[in-house]
Amino acid sequence: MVRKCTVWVIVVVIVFFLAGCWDQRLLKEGRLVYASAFDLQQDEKIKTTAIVQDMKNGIPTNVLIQGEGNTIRETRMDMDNKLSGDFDPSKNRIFLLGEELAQKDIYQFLDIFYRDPSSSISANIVVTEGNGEDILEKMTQKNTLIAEFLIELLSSAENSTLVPKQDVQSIWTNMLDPGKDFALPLISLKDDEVVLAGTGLFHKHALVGSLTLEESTLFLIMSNQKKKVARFVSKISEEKEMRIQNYISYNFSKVNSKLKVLSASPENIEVEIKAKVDITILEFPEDKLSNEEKIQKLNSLISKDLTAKAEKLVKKLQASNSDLFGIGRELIAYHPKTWEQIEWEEEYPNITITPEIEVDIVGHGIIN
Amino acid sequence: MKNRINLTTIQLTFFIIQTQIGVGILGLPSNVFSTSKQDSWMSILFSGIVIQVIILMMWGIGRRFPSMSLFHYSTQLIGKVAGTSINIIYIIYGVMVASLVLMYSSAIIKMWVLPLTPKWIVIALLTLTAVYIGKETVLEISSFFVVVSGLIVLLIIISFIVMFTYPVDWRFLFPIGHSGIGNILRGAKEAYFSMLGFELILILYPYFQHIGEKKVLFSVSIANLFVTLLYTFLMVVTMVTFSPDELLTIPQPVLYFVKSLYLQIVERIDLFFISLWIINVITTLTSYLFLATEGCLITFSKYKNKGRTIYILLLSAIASGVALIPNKESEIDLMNKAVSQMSNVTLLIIPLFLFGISILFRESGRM
Repeated sequence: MVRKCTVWVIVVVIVFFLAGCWDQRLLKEGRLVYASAFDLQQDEKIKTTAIVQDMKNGIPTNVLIQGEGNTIRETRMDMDNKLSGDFDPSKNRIFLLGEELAQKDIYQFLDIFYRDPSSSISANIVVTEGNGEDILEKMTQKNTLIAEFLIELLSSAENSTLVPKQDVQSIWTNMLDPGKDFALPLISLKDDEVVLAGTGLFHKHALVGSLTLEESTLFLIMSNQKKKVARFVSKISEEKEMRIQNYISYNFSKVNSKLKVLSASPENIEVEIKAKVDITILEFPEDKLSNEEKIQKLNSLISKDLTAKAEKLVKKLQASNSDLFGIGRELIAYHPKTWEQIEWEEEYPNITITPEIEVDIVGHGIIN
Repeated sequence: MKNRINLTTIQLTFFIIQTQIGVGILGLPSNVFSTSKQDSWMSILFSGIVIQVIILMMWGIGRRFPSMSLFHYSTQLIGKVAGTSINIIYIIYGVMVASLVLMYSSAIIKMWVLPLTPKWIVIALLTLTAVYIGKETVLEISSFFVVVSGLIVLLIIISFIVMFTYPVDWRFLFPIGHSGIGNILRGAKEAYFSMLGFELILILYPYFQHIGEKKVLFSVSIANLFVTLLYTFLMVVTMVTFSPDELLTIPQPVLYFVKSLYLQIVERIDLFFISLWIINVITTLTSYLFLATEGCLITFSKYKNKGRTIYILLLSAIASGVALIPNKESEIDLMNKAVSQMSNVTLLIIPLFLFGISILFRESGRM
């Protein structure tokens, strides 16, 4: 009996030591940040705009706070002084990078997220046309659930293969890889509405250009990153009476794209990107899709249109020196001798990249 | 004595596995990668082979003295004074490794999980748990090790999830064999120090002699094979998730890739991962405290007939006291260097020396 008592006493005493009192972070004391935007000001100081959610009579409302400083941490300290409770960015689900900041060197600004164990490196990250703060400000006026809205905007775009799926962690991998660049979703304000404008192209750590949504889908198709759906519209003729008759809309149902280095001599690097895609027709007013001849003709027309678009896309990527396809990585991995001899930075815009897309119509909806 | 009958092959295997897997598992990929780059996985496989050779040598001595541990036959082979000093070297080695494990693990816990908790609390909690297990007999310790080995499976599952949900790039593994043999060997040396723990066979042999000498070798080899493959697997996972330059900036890549997982509602899976990993740290700690305690018991039993608990408490107090000293990483690294040097003595020189003598003089404990 005495023995049992001692055991219980010990258990009770130990319980107090197991609670981890030093490192508790109580939800009631923290002010959770849901979205934040980073912008560069004229004197290169950073301005952080953060959205903190509050409950008012059971309805969540957004509070926008801003802070200035020389480092991201300093802007946080600045914001903490303006808030009751602890500023807590560990549950931040989305980051907006202002255009000007992104053009400089985003790695410098993201360092704190990689260094702090409690930061959310799986958060989404986007670039904005103009300042990120404007977008958050505009959205606060409308009083929607800002972070949720942006995340849903992104995830639906990701699912329809409009923008690449990236988060804070995954871009770090690409930033430090000399053989591959990355792209981030680009959002902008259009007539006071927040819209997805395309993707921002990066080279190393900096924003160097942008793709339209169409180009972005094409890029994702060509790099085997098709998600649930990938819809596309091609122009297949010029002379039809009505404008709509010149176009055909379809969905990529199966994509198989291969990147092949044809020649890897340091003087002459030739790369071929060959994509075989199956499509299903979504919209084609001319009908008569049961005719095999007709389908063959359409196949070649669409292939031609896509290949032409792909060529344009590749030119654009080379012009902005953004190696999205990871051709450099391909060289490092399989042609290390060539890689050592060349200066990829200067070489990439001049190499020959030949895209080719081969289309096969495999479906046409419930009518012919 | 009657407990010995219950000890099985599996228990020996897991005893070694749990000792080998410890603090090193988190930092290993980064350390090895810094020297052997994309061929790091070869380094790990190579160090597995080297360890297998050392295991063979240690087993070679063990089978000559099946009913004795190192602490017994050292005095029998080279005399009382020299033998006792060898025993003392091993005791110091055990305490030093234990305290190094405490240093690294408490630093990592403080860095990742409990930034505000004082270090001595973390160290005390780890040590007390290890003492609680370590004061028992081999049977109890090894049974505990077998049970908690289930957690290693969880670690592997998490790593698999990472591999399938994360945008991995297999091209990071290429070009194969491009970093040169010299670098691969140097990387193997890095890996080797994270795989220590097999030396426990020196003192565990007599407890497991009844399962037969072939089975002893077999189960230790299986343990080594498992650890080598697990480390190679983790190495490959980290290499395909992180780009080369990125990997060099992350000291604990295994934790880092777990941290970047986001499973709908669960975030910071690294905290969960660390909780599992702590068990592996405690088992390593237990093994080395056990090693030192055994040494004390056998070496000093004639002078002071004190129990296991007293010895382990004393030794763990020394280990955790030493673990409290360093403040910076560079100071821990200094200790690490010292322990590495010492392990060369305890793992290679002394066993080889004893092995040589036992062969030369045809000395053996099998009367």
